[in-house]
Amino acid sequence: MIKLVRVDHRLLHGQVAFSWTNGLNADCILVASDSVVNDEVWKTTLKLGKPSGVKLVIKNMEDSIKALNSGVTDKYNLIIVVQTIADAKRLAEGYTEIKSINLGNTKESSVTKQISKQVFVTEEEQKIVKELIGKGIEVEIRALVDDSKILASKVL
Amino acid sequence: MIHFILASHGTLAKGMYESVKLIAGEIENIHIITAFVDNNDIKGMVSGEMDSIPAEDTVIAVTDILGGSVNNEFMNYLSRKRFYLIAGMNLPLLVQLSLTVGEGDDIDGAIKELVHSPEAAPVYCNERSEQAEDEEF
Repeated sequence: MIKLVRVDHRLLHGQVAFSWTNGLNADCILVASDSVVNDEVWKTTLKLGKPSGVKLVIKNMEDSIKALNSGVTDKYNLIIVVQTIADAKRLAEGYTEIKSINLGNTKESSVTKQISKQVFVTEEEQKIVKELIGKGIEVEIRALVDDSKILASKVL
Repeated sequence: MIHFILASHGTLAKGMYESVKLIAGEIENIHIITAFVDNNDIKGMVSGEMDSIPAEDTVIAVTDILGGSVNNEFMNYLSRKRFYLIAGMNLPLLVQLSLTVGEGDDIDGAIKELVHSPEAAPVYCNERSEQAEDEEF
């Protein structure tokens, strides 16, 4: 079952590797990203950084959606990590079982608005978040598993 | 809160952090000490940095080399609570550290595992035949 769908531009790092994996008892992490699959250095780093005892599968968006829909992932306590809000939308549209999306870490830039300590959104991303909420998907903000959920709808 | 200190003779620490940023992203609460560049006051540089960190915060300091003046200065702080000192920084070690250590972790255990793991050690590629395997569901 899917334990978490997280938007984190750093993908697998301390917060995900420790806090979330332990807190949710996850035994499998899917990194769904079109850019990472072709980046051997990043892939190797992710593999090195994964918590022991947890399976790490790295796939591009299309293959990730296929795998999710095929049912092969059902037997795992799965954490899915995507890099951007746009990727999260694509995933949610391709695999409709996703009912909640966690905003963990997004990049700051000159055109972003800060909506929490680690979450920065462009205008386009704000639109996407509202769209997802409109579809009945919970979009919440937490850096670590024990943080209290802040609904994105309240801070946009 | 976890503070990371990277400290070296010269600008190794600064350069190392630039590389870490490229691969694993920024490290929160990072302190960089590049000693013996403009002056020899290693004691002042280290105490300045250490004193700026609240006593209840965790400090993970990584220095360039065991036995060097930089690491020797940090050894004076080993009795401080929640202070962890690693000598012999390299990029894989730092990347792994930043990727895997977080609030609430057993930092002592994590560092022990990391420092003793093959991932943090130099690799002689000529004798390395297989790549890290890709896992499947």
